[in-house]
Amino acid sequence: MLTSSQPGLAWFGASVRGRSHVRQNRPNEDAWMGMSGAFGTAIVVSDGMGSKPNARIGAQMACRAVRDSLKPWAKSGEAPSLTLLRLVHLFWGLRVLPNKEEDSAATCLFATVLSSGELTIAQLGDGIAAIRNADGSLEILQGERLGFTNQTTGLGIAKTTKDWTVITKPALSFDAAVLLATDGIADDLVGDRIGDFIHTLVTDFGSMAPLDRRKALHQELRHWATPNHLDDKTLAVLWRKQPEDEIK
Amino acid sequence: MSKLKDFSIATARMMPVIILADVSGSMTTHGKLSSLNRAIAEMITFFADEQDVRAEIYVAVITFGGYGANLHQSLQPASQIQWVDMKATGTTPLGAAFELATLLLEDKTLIPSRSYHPNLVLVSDGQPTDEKGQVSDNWKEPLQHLLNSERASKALRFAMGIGPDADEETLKAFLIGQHPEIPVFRTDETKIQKFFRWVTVTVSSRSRSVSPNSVPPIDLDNLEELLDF
Repeated sequence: MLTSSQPGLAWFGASVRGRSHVRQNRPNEDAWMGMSGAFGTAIVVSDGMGSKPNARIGAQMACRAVRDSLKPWAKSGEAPSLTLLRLVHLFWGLRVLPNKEEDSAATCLFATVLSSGELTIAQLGDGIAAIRNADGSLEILQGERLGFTNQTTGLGIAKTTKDWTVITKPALSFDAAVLLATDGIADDLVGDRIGDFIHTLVTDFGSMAPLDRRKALHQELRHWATPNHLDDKTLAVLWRKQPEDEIK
Repeated sequence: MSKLKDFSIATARMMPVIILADVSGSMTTHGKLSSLNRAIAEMITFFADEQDVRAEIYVAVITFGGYGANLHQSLQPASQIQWVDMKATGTTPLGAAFELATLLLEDKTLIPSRSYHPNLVLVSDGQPTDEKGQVSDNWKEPLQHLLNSERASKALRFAMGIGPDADEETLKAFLIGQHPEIPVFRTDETKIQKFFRWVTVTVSSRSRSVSPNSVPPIDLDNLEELLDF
């Protein structure tokens, strides 16, 4: 588990190459990143679009673009979340150069707790971004999908920030957790067990030593129970624990 | 022991194939119906034998003839289907078939949102009629409803006209607005199988693809090289 400089915040993540890419000798086209700094703490996941030639780099750069954007945005203090999204598009466009943006298309899901404590969660494209509150209730950023799977938008496709879904909250409360996952996981989750899924990730995997957790999570994701699962799979979790002195 | 197994769905994602088959009385002539039955049965067998696919291919067959549309084969995994030949009689009530197809495609309990874009296949040898057998435009409104509906509009559509009496306007209207453009496949009773091989290759390619919602380029003239039935 990686802890943040902010009290009680912790995060981890994992990503595995799907069977399809293993067979085709192609790399993992998902990416994730966790980060802590003066701005606060954040996690990002991204799924490079499989039909695009530069998908892998597109996903990796989505994570870096979020990191690049958070520092100046957090510094500005009062800037709206829309500014943050614009910065993500801008930095991502610069980072994928000299490749074309449309050849590098990737989803982008991130969650950040600023040093002020404010929580922002944003999603562009397929996947899941969800909060499990301390009382077990669940908030999913994007509601039920109207159409079918794999009809995604992303960086390199969306021309404006209108395609993003964003929520902000004054804080991530104690014992609450945020899950971000790419569609290789999100589309196969049992709808009424997502809260339990997040709780299990935090309680069973969050308490492991980092190397043990990485091994255990990779094992779980590689042996995902849904038949014919072929997609790359990536998740990241950010949660806030009760301060130990309060527990005692 | 897996800690996450209980949270993942235990069935593969679905790729639906829905066939709208003309079973009006005229289909009984020149062996058209028997050829169509063979072609669909062959396609189902091919899908059932598919290995290493991303999606499980499900097939449904809506027939239109007699006095309306009927779900001849309910949506099931190809591997579980025991094909029963269709019978032909009466009129060509295509509008009723479009209505039934839209109902099926919009039903999220039948086709979950985690499914890949469906494939919709229209086969006809004549002009659409009302239930009394009079040539009619009453198919246009149900088709517009299908093409404008949230989920049904996402389906990849194929169309085959059998024989000289198949109505080009209807078949073209069914395919309108797709990218890339997919032409109407015109044929006689001897080439029905070829059309279904084309559909089979396209669906099969999609089910293996890293991006199953995109349409793979298929060369209609070289199908025999692609398929080994």
